[in-house]
Amino acid sequence: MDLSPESFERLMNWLHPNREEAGQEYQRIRTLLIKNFQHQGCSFPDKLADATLDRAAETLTPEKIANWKGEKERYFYRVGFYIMLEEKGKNPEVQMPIGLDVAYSDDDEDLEQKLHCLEKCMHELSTDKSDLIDQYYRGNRAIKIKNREELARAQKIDLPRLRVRAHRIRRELKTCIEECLKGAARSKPSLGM
Amino acid sequence: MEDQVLDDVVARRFLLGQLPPEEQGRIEELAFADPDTFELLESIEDDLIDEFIRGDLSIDERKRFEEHLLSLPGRRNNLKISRVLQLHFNEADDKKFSFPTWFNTKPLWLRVSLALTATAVLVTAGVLIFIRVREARQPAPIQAGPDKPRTITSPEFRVSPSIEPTASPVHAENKPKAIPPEKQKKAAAYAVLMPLAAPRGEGMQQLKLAPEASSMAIELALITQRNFRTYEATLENEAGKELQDWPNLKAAKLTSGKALQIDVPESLLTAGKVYRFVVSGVSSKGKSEVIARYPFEVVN
Repeated sequence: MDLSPESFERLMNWLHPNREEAGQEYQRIRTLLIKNFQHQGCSFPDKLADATLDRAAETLTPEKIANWKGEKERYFYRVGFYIMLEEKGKNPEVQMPIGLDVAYSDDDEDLEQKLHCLEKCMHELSTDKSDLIDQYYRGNRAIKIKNREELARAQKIDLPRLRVRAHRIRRELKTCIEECLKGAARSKPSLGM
Repeated sequence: MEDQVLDDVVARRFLLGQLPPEEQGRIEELAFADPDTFELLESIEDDLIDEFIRGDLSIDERKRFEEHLLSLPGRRNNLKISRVLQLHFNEADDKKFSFPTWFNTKPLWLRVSLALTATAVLVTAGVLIFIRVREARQPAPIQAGPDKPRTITSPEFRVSPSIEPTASPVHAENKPKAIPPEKQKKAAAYAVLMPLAAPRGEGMQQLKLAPEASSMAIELALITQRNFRTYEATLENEAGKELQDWPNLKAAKLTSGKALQIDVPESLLTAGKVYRFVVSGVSSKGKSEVIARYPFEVVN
């Protein structure tokens, strides 16, 4: 969506009544945003910073301006958080062909394929990671809690750190599954949509 | 990962959209500027998604999960991946766990000890059942005069789905020998509830109201190996509205084993309606976590 001139004007006026100073403030905030996107490991941080500035301009209403307290860059950080969620929620390297967006499909027809991909991806993990994720998710609720406490003790870390470690493996599995599904979708020529 | 700057409980409330807007915004800023906080939020989101799939979220949390968390970018895809992970590990559990295999992998001394313990437990249970049955068959002692108390039946351990109130063993012990007729009307009934995963459907426990009772002693069986300093039980209606709260409960050895006992006024319950108890364990640090839910349907 293109940014309207009115939204851009409103943003600049909010940053500073003097246009030149507003331009400098705009550049300062853009640099901060780029740094944060870089720090978060995002590809194309400058594009994401621009997207954040555009989104911030679109969503900045006169009410928000009237009620805003504190440093203005904080408003851009709040918008940047959602831009980052969008960025991390998609996998730009693994775009599904149109009509074969398996990962986003709501039915369970591809469940078997997903399970097959998961098995394959589990084998691709290192033994340490595979053992950790296996033990992390093993068992029903009560057993799972006990397993996780034991696992954290064995790894000499606390539970939040263990959860983050499991999350990183899970993210790795997610990317692997999406790539595997993409490969499976490509090998189905009869679907030709 | 540096020291955690965001509390788990606050992070969870943030993801469910339960925080005031200013606090919500503060965490957005923090997560954007600090990769550790962002990752922590994602890891807590993993747990929430797992709880959603397993049906462990309360009605309110489930609603917020669907309306708030799933509306965030990329979250639906995470949900699908989690479903696959859970299916995979559930299947692996079904395939891998077999008691004979597990038993045979244990050392001989442990196998012998377990076998002896199991035998001792079975023999003790058999003897206890025999004594109870004999007691129940004996006629009630004859009381002099018109103030004869009503017969106190022995406590019964009833497994879902049919749980009927019986006379309370706790009250039986403390009762005077003669009870005035007006007090007899207010005698408490007794029932045992088991924790269940499914909020509705087949296997729903039924709780029978005793017309003569003003309150009901309910035993909430604790099927968990974890111990907490105290427990808290909350009675909710089907919509998740809190009807009454029982804080500072202590676990005790009751009819069903380790359990909590609470007295519930029958005026809170209506026949034909579905309710549930939500039990939380409170640690010595005061941290509370939901450990079990006991859905049940009230019948006349």
